[in-house]
Amino acid sequence: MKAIDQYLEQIEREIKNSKLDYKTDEVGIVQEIRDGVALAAGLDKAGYGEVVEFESGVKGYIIDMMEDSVGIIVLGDYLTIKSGEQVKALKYTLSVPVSEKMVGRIVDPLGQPLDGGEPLPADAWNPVEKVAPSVVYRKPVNVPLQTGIKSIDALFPIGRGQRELIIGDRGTGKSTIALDTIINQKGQDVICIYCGIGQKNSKIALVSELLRKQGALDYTIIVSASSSDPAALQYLAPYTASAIAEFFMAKGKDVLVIYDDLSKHAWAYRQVSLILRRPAGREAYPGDIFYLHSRLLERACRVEDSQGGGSITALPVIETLEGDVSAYIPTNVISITDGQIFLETDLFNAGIRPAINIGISVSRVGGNAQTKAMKQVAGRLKLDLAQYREMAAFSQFESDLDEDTKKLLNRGAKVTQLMKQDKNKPYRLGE
Amino acid sequence: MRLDPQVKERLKKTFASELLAQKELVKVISAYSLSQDEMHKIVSQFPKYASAQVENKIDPTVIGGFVIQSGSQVIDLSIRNALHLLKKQLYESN
Repeated sequence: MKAIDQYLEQIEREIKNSKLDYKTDEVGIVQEIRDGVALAAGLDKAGYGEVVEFESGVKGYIIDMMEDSVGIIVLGDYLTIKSGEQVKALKYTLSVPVSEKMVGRIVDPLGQPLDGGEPLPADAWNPVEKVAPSVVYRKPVNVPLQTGIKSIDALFPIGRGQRELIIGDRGTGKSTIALDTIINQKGQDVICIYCGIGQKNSKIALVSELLRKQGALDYTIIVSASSSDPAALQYLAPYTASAIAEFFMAKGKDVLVIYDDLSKHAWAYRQVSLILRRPAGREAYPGDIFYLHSRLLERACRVEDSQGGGSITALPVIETLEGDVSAYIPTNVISITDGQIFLETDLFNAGIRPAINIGISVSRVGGNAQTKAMKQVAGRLKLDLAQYREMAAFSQFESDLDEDTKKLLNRGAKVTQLMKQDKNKPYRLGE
Repeated sequence: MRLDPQVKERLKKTFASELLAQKELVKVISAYSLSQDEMHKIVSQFPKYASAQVENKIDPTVIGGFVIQSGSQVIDLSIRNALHLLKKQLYESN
């Protein structure tokens, strides 16, 4: 009863103080509904990226503007929308609630919890699309991020603020490398974000279970748009992960973001684009597919102390078909990132796990971030191993070899065995 | 219903030109018909529309108050909208 009295009092007070105020709304009329996309006439003064609300309360996001109509991707159930109903522009660009409490939780691309836990209060709202920090705010990458995987830390070191692509066929252990890296960040004061795009819900459950068991969920956030979610949400998921990462980066934290995987993200965007009838290019992807990924990965950076001094390290994952790295999306993302870790089915089946192809994997900036001790140990390793692989293939036909070649082969075989490592068992730097 | 694409194109054009014409027009939507005097009083409160051509439209779902529409811009001062906002507030603040 007391609560009701308080409400009444409040209402009375507000009525007394209210004066007739008005605001102008921007509205449109829904003309067409397509799979997950609505076209609306009107909304003359609404902007690109603005959030709109349908009569049923479902929100949408303007992604296409034509002469006299706009294309809206629907963030939620588009089956409740009827043509002819009103849409109202809400006058803000799409943002997600972010908070410290998100750590350890599973959220959807709109920042709402998916794990059945308590609702998440928002500390701040971060825009989903944001221009990456400019050159003046950036610091060079020179602090290492230990993945705990011997071959990566020795041969292709990753620095905080770097973007390193993990690429390979299905079932070559791409996600395993990413998850091992998360597990190895225990006690390193790194916030990890695992962003699942178009993954099976069972896999997300598996990932969260694994991380929980390893005690890694205490510093990890999982953002998931599963394969049953609309393409619009899958398209948004990595940007949301980035927005959450930026929140922690601004607080001076080092953040590791894993986008698993960007091939499916490209598919989702292709679907949305084709429904919007945008001209299709190579492999039916729209013309701005490169920009789709470059603007996302450009947000990974290490910023100056005046900007908080944190960093975002991005480990995007790309799935190739039959090891074809010259397909459209793989070449795009390879050229955007600062290096790639290439996994091969043949190596995987030969028992060399992680199945990293040493010849074509590189890390373009990580060398500066390697610790001195590691540099000393790993100095010649890459060259030796690359030579060994070459020589091993060659020596299969040759029976009598000179002493030097035999030595090289012997050493190579030993180092290859040394680089083998079980999954989910990362090594600390000291070990 | 399948429309001949040419017919559809022309319909679209007519629709667009009609929309353009309507942009100049300011519509005052109310639950009951308003007299010329009342309309004038309402519109004079909004300097932006003072010189525009005004038309009255009746829509009982407004319940009370009025809605001013000009092109894609809407000023909603109806009871319907007020109730809508109240509903939203109640749901959000649980």
